[in-house]
Amino acid sequence: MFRLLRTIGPVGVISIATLVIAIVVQPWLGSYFHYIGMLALINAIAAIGLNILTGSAGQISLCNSSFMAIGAYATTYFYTQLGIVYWLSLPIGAILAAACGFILGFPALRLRGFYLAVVTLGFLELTQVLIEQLPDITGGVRGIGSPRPYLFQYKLSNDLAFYYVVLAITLVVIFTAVSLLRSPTGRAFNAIRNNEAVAQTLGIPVARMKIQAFVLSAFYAGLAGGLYSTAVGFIDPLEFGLGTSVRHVIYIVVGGVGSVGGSVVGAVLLTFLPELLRSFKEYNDFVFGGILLVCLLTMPKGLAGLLPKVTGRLWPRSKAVDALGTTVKAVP
Amino acid sequence: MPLGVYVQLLASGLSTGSIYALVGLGLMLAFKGTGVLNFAQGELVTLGAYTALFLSLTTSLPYWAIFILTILVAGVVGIVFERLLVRPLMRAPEFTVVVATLAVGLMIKDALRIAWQESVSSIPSPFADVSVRFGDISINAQYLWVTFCALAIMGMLALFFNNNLAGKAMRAVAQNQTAARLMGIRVNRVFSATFALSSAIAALAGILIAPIHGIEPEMGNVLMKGFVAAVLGGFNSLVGCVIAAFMLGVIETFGGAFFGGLFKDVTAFALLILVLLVRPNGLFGSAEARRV
Repeated sequence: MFRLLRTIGPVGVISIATLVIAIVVQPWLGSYFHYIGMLALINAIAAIGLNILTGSAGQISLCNSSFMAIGAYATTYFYTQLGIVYWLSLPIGAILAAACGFILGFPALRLRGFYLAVVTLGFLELTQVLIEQLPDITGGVRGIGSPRPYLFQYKLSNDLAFYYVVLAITLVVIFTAVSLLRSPTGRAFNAIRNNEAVAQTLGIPVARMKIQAFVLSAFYAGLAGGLYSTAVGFIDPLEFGLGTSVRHVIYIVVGGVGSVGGSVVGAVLLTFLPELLRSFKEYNDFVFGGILLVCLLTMPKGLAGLLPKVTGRLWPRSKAVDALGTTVKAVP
Repeated sequence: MPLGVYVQLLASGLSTGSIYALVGLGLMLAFKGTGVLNFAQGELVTLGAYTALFLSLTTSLPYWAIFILTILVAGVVGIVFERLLVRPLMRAPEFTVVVATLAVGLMIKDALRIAWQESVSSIPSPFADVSVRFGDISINAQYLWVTFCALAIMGMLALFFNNNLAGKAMRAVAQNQTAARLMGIRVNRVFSATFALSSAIAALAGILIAPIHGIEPEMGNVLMKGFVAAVLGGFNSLVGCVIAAFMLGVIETFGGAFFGGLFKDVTAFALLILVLLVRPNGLFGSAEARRV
């Protein structure tokens, strides 16, 4: 038993425990928890998307909520207006968001740091304006309804049922994102974040990888948007403003920039937190801004950075020692 | 369309551009001086407007007194802002700077929303109800006043940076902090002064825009237009920034009048992308070497 625990490692144990809670305990909690659970998982998908672009490839993006908006409106449009099956509309929405990520990637190629932040902020305002100015497709400022889909003749109007759909998709997203970031692509992203010039000399096609990061990130955010529209049943431009983008940034900063697990933890924690502290509801942006500042200044690696310190004590691993007797750090 | 409409549109466009110019100048000053691009600059504009609103509601001071008091208060706000936020961020990665200033901006906006709710209010201005007549053409005096203020600020800044010792010290710090320190310039004081100036200019924009667009928590959205003006101006020339801002204001106003609201809102972003791709150093800027 103990040996089994050791092979899975602390992160494995925590993940499995969380998954068991997410699957088994959820039905016994109130329907309110089913609803918040859906939102938490959707936020996690969006945070994973942002984490690929900002955390891994190191490109500042303030328009994650715009990609979410594109996915949300496209999914709703294809499903309700064109009558395409929901399970096809959802990926179409995500692909459209990815296409926008591709287009935005080109001007972004030549920009870095502050300029990139400014351009992505501009893109965010542009999407907001387009949503408001194209009411035929988007419903304008009044918003648009988005009904729940059918799964084999069974309408997913129950929050718990749709929660399990979102959970399944989230697990797929987590799995693909983790594999992606461990693959040569992920390592190329890391190299670009650390030093673009060095990455280029190592033969990494920097331009292509950056565009790839934009496309992947937009795809995940678009998927989150499509699920969001269906989960909530109603979307309007206010949902996809700068505040939402900043909240996604907060998720990854609190969870740990660059870590998929951290993104999920940050998103889930910070979706449930304001619900538990109801009295803060009115001061949402204020509290979130405060959390973000404290995190940035006191723990730049987020919760994922704290984990090794905590588990290192509870879970001492046999240390690898090199020829000179110094401890070799495991690659996280 | 009669000539009068064109002149009125031009005046309106120039006044809109003046606000963009003031926001852009504030951003540029702070960025050149400290290397921190302030994403909360829009909220400093909002804060200035609300300070003026607060003063006009609680005291019975005349417009001029409120005008000057607000700018002084904004200067102090700028100093506090620099000490508490900017200085710890000075050597931080760009991501941290962007996110931290954005967070502070959101917090200011939220605090103002909670304190004043969503209601749109305004401050009385002696120019708002006056119109200036040139023959058949009449122009709202507030438009002229706004444009005059922006030009005056640009002129004063130009004089300050070229002739005043403190202005020269600021330029020295912007060029090379270490060298400036070695020459006996108190660099930290220069940082404080830079942000005091930047915040005061932002507050001026807030007071000037209030009688035209009203005071509300979302007025900080003008930030993006300020960015576009500063980028078009090349981020290092006062005149370039102001000319770019005037251009943007006039194009937006005429475009909005002839082609509708969508055109107006898309212009700024299109210009931004176009300039960054074709002339990354702005319309008036010069190329800068980048250390790899």
